[in-house]
Amino acid sequence: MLQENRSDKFKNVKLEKLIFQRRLFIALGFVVIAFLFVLFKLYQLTITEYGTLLSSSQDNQLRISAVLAPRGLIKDRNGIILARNDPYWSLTYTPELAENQEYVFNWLLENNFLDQIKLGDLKALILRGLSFSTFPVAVLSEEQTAIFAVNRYKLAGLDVSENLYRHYPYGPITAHVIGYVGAIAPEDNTRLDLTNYLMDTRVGRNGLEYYQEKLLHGDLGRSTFIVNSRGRVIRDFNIQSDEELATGSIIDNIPPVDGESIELTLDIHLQELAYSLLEGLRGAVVAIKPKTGEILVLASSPTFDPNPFSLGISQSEFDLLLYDDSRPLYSRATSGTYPPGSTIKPFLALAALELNLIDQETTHFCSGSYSLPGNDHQYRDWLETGHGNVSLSRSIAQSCDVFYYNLATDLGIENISSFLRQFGFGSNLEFGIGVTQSGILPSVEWKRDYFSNPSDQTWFPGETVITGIGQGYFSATPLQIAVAGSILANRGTYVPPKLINGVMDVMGNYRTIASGEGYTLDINNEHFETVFNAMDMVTHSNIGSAYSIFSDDEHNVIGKTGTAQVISIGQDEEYIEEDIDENLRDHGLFFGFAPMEDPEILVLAIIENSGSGSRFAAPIVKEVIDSYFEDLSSDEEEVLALNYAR
Amino acid sequence: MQDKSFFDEILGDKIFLFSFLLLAILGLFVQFSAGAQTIVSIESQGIKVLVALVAYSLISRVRINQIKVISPWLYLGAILLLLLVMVVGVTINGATRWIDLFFFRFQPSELAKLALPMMLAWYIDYRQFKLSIIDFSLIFLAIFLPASLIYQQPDFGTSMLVILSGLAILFFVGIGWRFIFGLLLVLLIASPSIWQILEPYQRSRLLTFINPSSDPLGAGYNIIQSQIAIGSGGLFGKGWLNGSQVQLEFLPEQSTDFIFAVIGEEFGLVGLLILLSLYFLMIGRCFVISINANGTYSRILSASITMFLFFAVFINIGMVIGILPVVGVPLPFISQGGTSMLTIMLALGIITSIDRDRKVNLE
Repeated sequence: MLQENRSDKFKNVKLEKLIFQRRLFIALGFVVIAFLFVLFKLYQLTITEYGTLLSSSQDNQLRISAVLAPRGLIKDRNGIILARNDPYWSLTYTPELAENQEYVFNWLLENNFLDQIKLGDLKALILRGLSFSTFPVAVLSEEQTAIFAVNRYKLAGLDVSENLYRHYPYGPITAHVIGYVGAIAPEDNTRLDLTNYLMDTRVGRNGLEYYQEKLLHGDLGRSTFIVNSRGRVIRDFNIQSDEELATGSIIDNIPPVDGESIELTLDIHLQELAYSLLEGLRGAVVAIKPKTGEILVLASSPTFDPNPFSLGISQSEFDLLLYDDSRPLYSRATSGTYPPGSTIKPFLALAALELNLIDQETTHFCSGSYSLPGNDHQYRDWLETGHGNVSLSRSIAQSCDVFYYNLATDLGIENISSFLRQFGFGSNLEFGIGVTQSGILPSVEWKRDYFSNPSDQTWFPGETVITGIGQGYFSATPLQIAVAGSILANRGTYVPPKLINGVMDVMGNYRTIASGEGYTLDINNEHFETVFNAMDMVTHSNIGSAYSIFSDDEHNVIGKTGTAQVISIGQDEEYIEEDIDENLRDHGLFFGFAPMEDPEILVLAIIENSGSGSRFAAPIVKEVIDSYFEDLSSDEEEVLALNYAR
Repeated sequence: MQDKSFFDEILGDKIFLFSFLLLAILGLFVQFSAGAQTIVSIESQGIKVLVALVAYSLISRVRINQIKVISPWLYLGAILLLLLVMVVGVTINGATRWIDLFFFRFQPSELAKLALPMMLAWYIDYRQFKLSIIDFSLIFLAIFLPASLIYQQPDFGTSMLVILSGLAILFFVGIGWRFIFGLLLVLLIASPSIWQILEPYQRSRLLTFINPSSDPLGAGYNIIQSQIAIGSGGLFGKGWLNGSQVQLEFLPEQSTDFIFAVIGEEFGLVGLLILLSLYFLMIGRCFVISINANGTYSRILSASITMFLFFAVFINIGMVIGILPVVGVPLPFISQGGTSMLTIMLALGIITSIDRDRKVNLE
């Protein structure tokens, strides 16, 4: 070896160098392996895992913030707003903007914007979030907003943001129809597309707000921002390289789509009137335009204020409503089932006329009670002394029970139920505003299906007798009775009831909502005339059961009173109102429509435990009908005035 | 070898120079992107590159025998300075590593990095390669004295580098395989007690190395973000100044310890391969010089410097790509900061001097 160093004096120089070089090559091998390892890992990261890591890098920087669309408005038939979105002020806190967090928190405590518990929650939230996030602190009253505004200069980090909450200007008057909104509940998962909602979005919890949630909610908008690692929005960073365009992750803004506005058929003035008449009473009022099915009034009393629900009602407040014996949350007009009582009599008269069992001349003798052949059970007339010889017109005018006991027996339960079914009894009138009940239209078949015990399934002739005066198993909702009355008023033409006139989107496009199919019953028009004339006597003949109320009627109202028994009175007992528990007393009913020749409006009122229908129900119906025609004429005057001005 | 080129005469080794300049320039570009993106922000780094270049050139012209003679004194000086740091050291971010010399801050651990292999090479040469068990004990002591002084500063990364390059020397002097495996066994047995003396942050680094997703926003954050940066760069990268991980500061320590990931994100796999090739070229050149080096001192020292360079590169890259635990060491020539660059350039100066010595002897 030429290059042997002169200083290497010892003998094993060659060995030393050999060992060294061998070790050096081993080390080189180690270095090469390490480099290969690095290359393998780099290949893995940049080639194999490229896709997932690229999307991770985009997830890092893209922050999607949802923009809530204002909920659709709800208006009455004249465009008066019944549900709207009002602004409220909410205090927010952004840690990164704060100069002195302790000072801010102390200030919030001292001024009662927050209590210790809520402050603790806020601190926990801040610890978990990004420093540039904004956290909600409190909902501010007007006074608090003013206090904050004055002190704002020393409270860096706090800000006030404007949000919307649902407000119902008519509050209790529309509560049962419109319902209310509340926080998203676990069960909403199945009925709503929750990706279209924010965590704290208020959704319809009842009534129209619930059933028309899809229309009212609209669509969430999405703004996509680029943020840095501290969550601060970086706007000018250009991300749209070819690759990112190819993977579809461009920055975009999807604007929110406002919820659609709903125009109801309701007339809020009539609705207000109905509620003022129901004040202090339990019951329902329904007003409907028979020709179009438009519902003008849908009132249930008692009622509640839906507004506290919008910003979150406390459990104790809610419990007060929930456990109130008078059940204010309950929509009596659509869900309450009552025996129709004597209001069913015009329908039965019509049935008997149609089947030629009676004519205008037919009379039945009323002795004050009725018995089936071979049975000594006495079915009483409300008039103990009896009505004597009663014709059809008098049977309706004075509401003679015995006449209808006879009629029911002659008709038979099958004829009764199949005839009444055509008027909507026993079937559900679901029309998208809330829970509706179908009531019970009794029949042999119904009883067989309804009872599980075979001994209860047999239909007795006596049950047919009391069906004739709308008692027994028979029950219907106020809405059902009103709809049946409308078919009568229309002389056999059924127009499905509707509450929604139309829907308007943000662009102002108006569309009507189709209601179900109508139909016309094949009933002799003369028979309607016969029944109408009899009902005319109810209101306009001095023997009529509601004559005292309609003596000064200007709108040609005809109708029928009804008294629905809550309990049955024993064979030898007497119904003495004062002796009976108030909530076991009879319900008073009345439905009437006007004008008789060409009915435009039908109103039904049911007042629970108020005794005879003429006492409370009939005056309410009269008031509503009168008001309807007054409004109409004043509207006409307005139109005339407008035209004149033009 | 009559004609000596300009580079040989003035600047030293062509390969070192070529690789260093390319790496340093790449480093300036990457630091520009990862930092404030102003010329001012990389000015001082540029000056440091020039200083390192001058230091390299000067050292490479010193005869290796002169270097050899001062080795033990340099080592002694390094130990004393490490002790002095404990007394008058400047504390930055909880670590006491610097002595303030008013015009610049001197870091004795960097001197120790260099002085230890020199000292060991000198000692082995002095013992004429005949090493008894006492010699080995002394060598161990010589390694662990500076290593433990550096460890308590604390500077885990540098003390690891010192220990590794010291142990590499034992390997090169032909220590028996039985001894090597014995040492590994001892380490394995001692690992529970080593675990005990580790700082909590070091333990969590080791734990997240094993499973980074165990704490994605805490200790595992760095490694997850650097892998995202490298992977999302793909083959060709997102382009200079265009890496979202870098520009939006998702990548931690992006101008210093994690700068490798910046190159990955903005220049892709291609950029990383060029970088690795340059390092491999330098390390390979060191190997060639070591293989051919004359005399025990030169051989041992050059081999040690070779491994030192390799460890510095590999530990940083391994940490950033997630095949080694997170240890705070910079990427040579690329990371911001001049001290480690100066140390490595001085080492390369020494190895160039060793090469010159061989060529002189050849003539």
